[in-house]
Amino acid sequence: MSDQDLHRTLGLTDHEYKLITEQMGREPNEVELNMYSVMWSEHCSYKHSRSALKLFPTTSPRVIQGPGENAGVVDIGDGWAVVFKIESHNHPSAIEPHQGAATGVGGILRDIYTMGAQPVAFLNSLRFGNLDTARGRYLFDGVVGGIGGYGNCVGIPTVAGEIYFEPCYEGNPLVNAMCVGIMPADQLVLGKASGEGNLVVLVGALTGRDGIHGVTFASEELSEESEEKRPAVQVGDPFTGKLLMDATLKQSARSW
Amino acid sequence: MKFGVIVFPGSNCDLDAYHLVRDVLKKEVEYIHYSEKSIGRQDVIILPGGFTYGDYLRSGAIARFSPVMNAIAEFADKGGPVLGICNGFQVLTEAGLLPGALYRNHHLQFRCEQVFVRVDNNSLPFTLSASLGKVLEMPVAHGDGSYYAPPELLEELKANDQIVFRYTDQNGDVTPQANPNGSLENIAGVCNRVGNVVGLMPHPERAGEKVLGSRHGLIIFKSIISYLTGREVVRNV
Repeated sequence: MSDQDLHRTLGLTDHEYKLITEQMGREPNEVELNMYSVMWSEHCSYKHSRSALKLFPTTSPRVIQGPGENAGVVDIGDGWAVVFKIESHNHPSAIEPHQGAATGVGGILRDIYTMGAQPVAFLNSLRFGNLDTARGRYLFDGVVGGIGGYGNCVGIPTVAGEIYFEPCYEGNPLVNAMCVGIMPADQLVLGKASGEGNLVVLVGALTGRDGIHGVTFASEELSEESEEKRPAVQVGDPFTGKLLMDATLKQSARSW
Repeated sequence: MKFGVIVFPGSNCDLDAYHLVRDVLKKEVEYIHYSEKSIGRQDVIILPGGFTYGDYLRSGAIARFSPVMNAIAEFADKGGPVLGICNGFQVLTEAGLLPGALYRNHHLQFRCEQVFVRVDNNSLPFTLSASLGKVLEMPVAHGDGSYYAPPELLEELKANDQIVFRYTDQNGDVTPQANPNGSLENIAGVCNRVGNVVGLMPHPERAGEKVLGSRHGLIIFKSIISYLTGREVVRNV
């Protein structure tokens, strides 16, 4: 497969491929192209929805951190800040409801504790077709089980949510997971580093053959062929997620 | 008087237990890491709730092999009081320090709700401040809480008065509706033969402050404090 075909398979347009070659001053190799496809996917870059998202207010004297970091941070007074984020896991949940929803929770949890905040609550917003069909019940049971299973295992309660049933969500349920954390406002950690010669340590759960190009798939239109992309849904590992959370918070030297 | 709270990988009610002992009961408390071979000088050991090793394989089945478990078995063998809450209960049954086993809830779902349990043995270090038949309101939060013991073991538990807590309704009556998980004979908690090791699925550490909806769980901690205070008095005489 030539790079010309590969970039399309990875969800990049010809125009985007041209931009990449201009930025790099050469043709990207396969690894680089795969990385671009991840970072430039709609799921990661919000390239299509950015113009609409810009309409939301994001600045105020109480906003400590607006868009651009792992999560938003708002000053709630008395030296405390609340950290929160919401994320959709619609496509993964449509083809693998349990793991799709579970990894949505796991991902949003990570975005909170990496800011240095102790996660304290999960919330969710869900849309399904009706429960009269086998597929409707399969999606509903899987998503609810995935959200609850991950949250219980890491020890963070799901405290609130909203749910609606309409036939239009039959094929494509909406699964939005939210996590809220709290922290002393002056202990904020950002996903940035400066200085030369510093070691970079990358930690995470074990990688496998699951979840590869999950964000690319999540950014495409769902179709009849989507079922074939089931392996693109990552399999959640809440136990390792819990250890990562504990270790990260300890590393951030919080006295929780 | 010192409480030790064991922290396994995946424990998540360790903070709740620590908070209750330190901030509500105002007693000395420390976390003990699962990898410790010794627990040091402790008066009470608490195995908290959570999902040790993610409940992978089976609840408590991996945690029982932690290095700290040998020290806990020795402590229990010498009569030291040990309390296993929820996953801690599961770890104690897996370790053979408590009889029976905890199966998947009969409805196969995780349940998080307030329940009522009745004190069926008030002669233990962990229950001596409660009157017999006292009904306590506490939360449960588990997927694997269905207590089971084979018929001959169940008879033995009854003969030795090892059934400590039963799920009941508000009036203390054992009913199927009051049973949140399909436990055999509504058993919510048991003790070992001697009575110094107690395990229960409900969370007394989450029922110790008014803001949490119930303070009934305190009676279990107040019992052990009375027991240890009495022991200290005897020691000093």
